[in-house]
Amino acid sequence: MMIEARNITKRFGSYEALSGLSFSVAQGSVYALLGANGAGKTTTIKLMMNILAPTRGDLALMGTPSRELGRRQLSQIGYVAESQVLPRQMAVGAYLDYLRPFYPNWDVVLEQSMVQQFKLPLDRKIRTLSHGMRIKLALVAALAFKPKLLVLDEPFSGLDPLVRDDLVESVLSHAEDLTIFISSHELNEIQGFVSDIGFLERGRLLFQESIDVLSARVRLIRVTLQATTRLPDTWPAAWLAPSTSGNVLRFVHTAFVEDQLASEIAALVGDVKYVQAEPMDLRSIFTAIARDEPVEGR
Amino acid sequence: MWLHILKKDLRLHWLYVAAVIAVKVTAVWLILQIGILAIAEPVRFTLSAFSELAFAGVAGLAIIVVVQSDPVISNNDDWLIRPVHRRDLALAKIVFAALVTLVPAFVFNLAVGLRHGVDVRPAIGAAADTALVTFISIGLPALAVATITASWLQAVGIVFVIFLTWIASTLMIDYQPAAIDSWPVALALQVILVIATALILGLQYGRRNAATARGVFAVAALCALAVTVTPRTIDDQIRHIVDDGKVAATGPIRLSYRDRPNATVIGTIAPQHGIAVILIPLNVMVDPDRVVAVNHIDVSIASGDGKPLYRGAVSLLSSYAPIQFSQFLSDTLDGASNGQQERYQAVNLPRDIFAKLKSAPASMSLTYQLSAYAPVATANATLALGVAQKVAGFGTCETQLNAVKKQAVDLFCIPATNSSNCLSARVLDPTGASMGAQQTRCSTTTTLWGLNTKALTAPGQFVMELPAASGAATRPLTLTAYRVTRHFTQTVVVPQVKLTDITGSAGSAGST
Repeated sequence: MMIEARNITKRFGSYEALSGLSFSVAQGSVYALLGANGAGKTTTIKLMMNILAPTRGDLALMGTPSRELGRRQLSQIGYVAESQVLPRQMAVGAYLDYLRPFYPNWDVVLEQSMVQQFKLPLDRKIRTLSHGMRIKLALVAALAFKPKLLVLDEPFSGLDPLVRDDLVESVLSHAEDLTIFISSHELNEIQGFVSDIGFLERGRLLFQESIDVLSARVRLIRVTLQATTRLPDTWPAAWLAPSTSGNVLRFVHTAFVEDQLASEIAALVGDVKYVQAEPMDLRSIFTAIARDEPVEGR
Repeated sequence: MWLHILKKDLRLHWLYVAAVIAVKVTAVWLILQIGILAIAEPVRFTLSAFSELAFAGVAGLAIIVVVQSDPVISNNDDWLIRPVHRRDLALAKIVFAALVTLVPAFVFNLAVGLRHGVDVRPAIGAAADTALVTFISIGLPALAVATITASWLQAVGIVFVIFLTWIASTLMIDYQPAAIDSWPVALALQVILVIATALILGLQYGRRNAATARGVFAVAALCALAVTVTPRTIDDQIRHIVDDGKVAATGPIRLSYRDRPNATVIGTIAPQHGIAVILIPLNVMVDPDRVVAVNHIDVSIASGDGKPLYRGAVSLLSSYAPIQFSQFLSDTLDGASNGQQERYQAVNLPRDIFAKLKSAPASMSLTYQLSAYAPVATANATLALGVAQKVAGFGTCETQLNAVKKQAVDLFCIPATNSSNCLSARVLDPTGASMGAQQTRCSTTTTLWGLNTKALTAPGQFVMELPAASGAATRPLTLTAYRVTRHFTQTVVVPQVKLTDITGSAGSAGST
């Protein structure tokens, strides 16, 4: 495993930002940590990068405990964050010149090609760059040494779609042998390229799984009944956000198995005219799960 | 990699480095204009003091800015996620601090020393010592403050608060604190700064433990404040124990109570201080060719039946001499003073003890901690007025016209090393005979690292007033350098103190 977190807890005074967080990221995967603002995504990443220390629990990157990350490990980890503070008074070229000697694997050709691709002005001071240009520069500085792990903390936040697509394309073009850990609350922007997701809410990981499995098990179910009906008093935990409109019942099924669906519904609401099961995009899944209070602690 | 980081800092912050050098050059220019031997004109002296203060301020600010360009307490800064070894980062910042404090202080002090005719080796020693003290007193605190704060404004705010607290502390105490340049005080402050900075840098760069580092800073600041308001009596005791630890019972001076029927002990409540002072008549006899310096005096008083009444230290401050009288015992004595009559030791006492002495007879003893000096070199020198000149075997001297007395010149001398602690001078007339009495001064020059640390920073350490040679632009002098030979104690016993209180009488209006 490239990243392995076991029962991580992080407290800031009396506030518990993360509670018993456990997840793992396999080599070569693109793992997205999803969650609303304040869910604990950035805290998780800062713990991973040894910027913060966990209050409890074990966290390891590439087999090394996060608290013991040294030069060898950090020279294989690229990091880009929306909140990352680059040395504002340095020029773009001087900044890259400064970083180069710290990385034994720094690829000057790759660096130059990315600088050209992103049209980065080498002579300009970093403080004069736009937010998008700064993120591009951070990405060059995170990929030029061909890291094994790329950690991205809300990297696309506040970027226009054109820049975002540029960055995604660039990241993906270097994704060979690269494990990517990305945090985001902008689901649409990551949907196309992540392989696994973890869903974080108020410091707790609600679930983590492969996006293929998630997409397969979550469906928006539309049931047309023989007659108008009321919602039953008891409801399966896997059925989220139920609602009725006339003789149509809607809900999100989080444990969808095609063969069992008709019998499950019939057992609960009686005669069914027909059932429609639609795949959901990541945003809709995220919204449905986030709004469903009983999900917590499942 | 520390050098790589340092080069980056120098490239990015060269303006600050240039400002530090510019301020130091200005300070040195002012020193050269004033001259290290002269007592400067007030305006020039103030300018010089301000330029030194500006150097401390600009150098401190440069260090804070450079340290905070890779902030330790940040959780978002770029270097945190780079393979930058924290030890390299800390070393780069420490070297930068040394570059803007230690190096300019060394280079420019060395230049000043050489320019004023100090020999190369002692000039290097004194400049190195001054540079080290500059680094410890400016560089280390700036490093410590910078690593525990997030912005230079925060850092400057903390320094300002500490400064205000120190001012308030000195205003609140009702005793005389030890001098800041007294070696026990200076050493204690330097030890606190070195230990605290090492701990803070270790905690911040090693563990990024800002809370503990700030705690260490707060404790160190309190300790430093406590040291600066240490009572002078404690400082005296420390110096007495350390400096005069090996004492002999006898020395080249004989002090005794002048027990004559009319030589009563007189005393008064000094109007300018409100403290009680009594004057003990003494006989003083010093061996020829010897100099004796008074380091410390303890007084103890017992009632008529032998019961202890009081024990304390005698202040050597001349301002405690409250009344117009003939001769008070100075802190430097030599054979030239043997012929002088009417010598008195001024002793400051609590007012309640003063009142008891008035009402009932008591016995008193004065215990002197003394140092004896023997001559090591004598040189005849003809010093052109207003020109600094090297004097073989001693250092650099200069004569200037006395600003007040037309018939006197002031002699300024600095020893470049600790080879000599006392200097005596006599002016020669055209026939080679001595004009007036020999003048002697002993220096309190600190020799903490075996060097005269004041050689380049305290102008005119040996200042003597000599009679002017008539009609000549040059002053032929005989200068004798002395070196300490032994420390010893001597006790003067006053069997029965018959105190006459002259408070309010006509004779108590002035002071000598």
